[in-house]
Amino acid sequence: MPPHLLKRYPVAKADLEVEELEDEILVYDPGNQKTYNFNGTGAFVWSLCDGSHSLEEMVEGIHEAAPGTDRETIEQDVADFVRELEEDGLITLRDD
Amino acid sequence: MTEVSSSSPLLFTLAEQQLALRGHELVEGLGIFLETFGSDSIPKTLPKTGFTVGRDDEQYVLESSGSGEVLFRADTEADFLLLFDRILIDAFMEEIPPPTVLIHAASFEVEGTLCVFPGRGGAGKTTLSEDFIHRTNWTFLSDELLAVDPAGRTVYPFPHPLNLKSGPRHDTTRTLTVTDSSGTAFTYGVPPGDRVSNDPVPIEKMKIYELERGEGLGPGVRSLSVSAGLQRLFSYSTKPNDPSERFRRITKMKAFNPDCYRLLYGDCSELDPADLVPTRS
Repeated sequence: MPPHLLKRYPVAKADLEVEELEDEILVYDPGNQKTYNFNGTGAFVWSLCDGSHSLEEMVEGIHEAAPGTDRETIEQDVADFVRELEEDGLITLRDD
Repeated sequence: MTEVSSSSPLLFTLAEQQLALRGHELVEGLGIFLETFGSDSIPKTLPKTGFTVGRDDEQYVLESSGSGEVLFRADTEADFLLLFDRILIDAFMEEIPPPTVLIHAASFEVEGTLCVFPGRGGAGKTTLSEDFIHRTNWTFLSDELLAVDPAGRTVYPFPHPLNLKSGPRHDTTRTLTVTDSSGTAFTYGVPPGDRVSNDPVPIEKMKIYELERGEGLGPGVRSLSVSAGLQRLFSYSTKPNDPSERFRRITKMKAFNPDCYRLLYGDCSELDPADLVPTRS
């Protein structure tokens, strides 16, 4: 993940319908009328998309929970996931 | 006026004397068509849509009993039944009370388990329904439309006759064949009355099998998470019109903690119903 991206703060769009299930999150975007389901790491990342957690903090959190996983792999997975969320308009990335 | 059926959300009356002018073909056909909606008990929870069937200027006419509004006119008995099928579905969708969600799916009830088979057009909902009516003792709820009240843990059935486009698969299937005024024949499979339910059915558990039919696909069952299953179910939901409200109602299905799967198959004869819903007996 590019270093500048690690310092950015994802913020979920305001008007989404979010339903938390056990270890999973189901999201509905009235804007594009699409549903999304996130489980495992995706649900963890999504739960931190409140503007107060940087991508670096998210990567740290996942790495602490799964220390056996290579940090670069985690960074790449988080970057890909966040990019998809941003492309679909579910989040915006703030600089601080 | 004679009441033909009163146990479904829909209430039917026939203007028999007028219909008698041209014989009883429509009365007989309509009677067979409505058999699945008949039972002794009348659910108290549902409002009723009334229909009156009559004759006017050589046409069969369906009117709303309440407003007297003419819903359609048909030149022949066959045309009448084909249009009537459409009206029944629309009326059912209108009459089911909130907070119910409507899902495009075939469904059965098995010992308190609601077994839902959503699928796109051509996925085999009707074919599977006919086959499972023949091969199981499950209670048939619908081949097309299902209304679930997750808060009340109740399902409202819509067991209308099956539109068997390729004809019946089993010689035990009772059929009603009608040919419309353009010469196209339609074969309806009429489920036996003792195998269907019209009353609201209480549900303890729920299994969702999204149908995916294709040559060489299966049979195979792929497990989905509850979140993924509800996501799929949302894509098959039709009412209420507001998708946000529909989403909120679908998510309440989590109260059932449903088992969710994709069911891949080539022909429903490959499927063993006992594998899908193991029964106690």
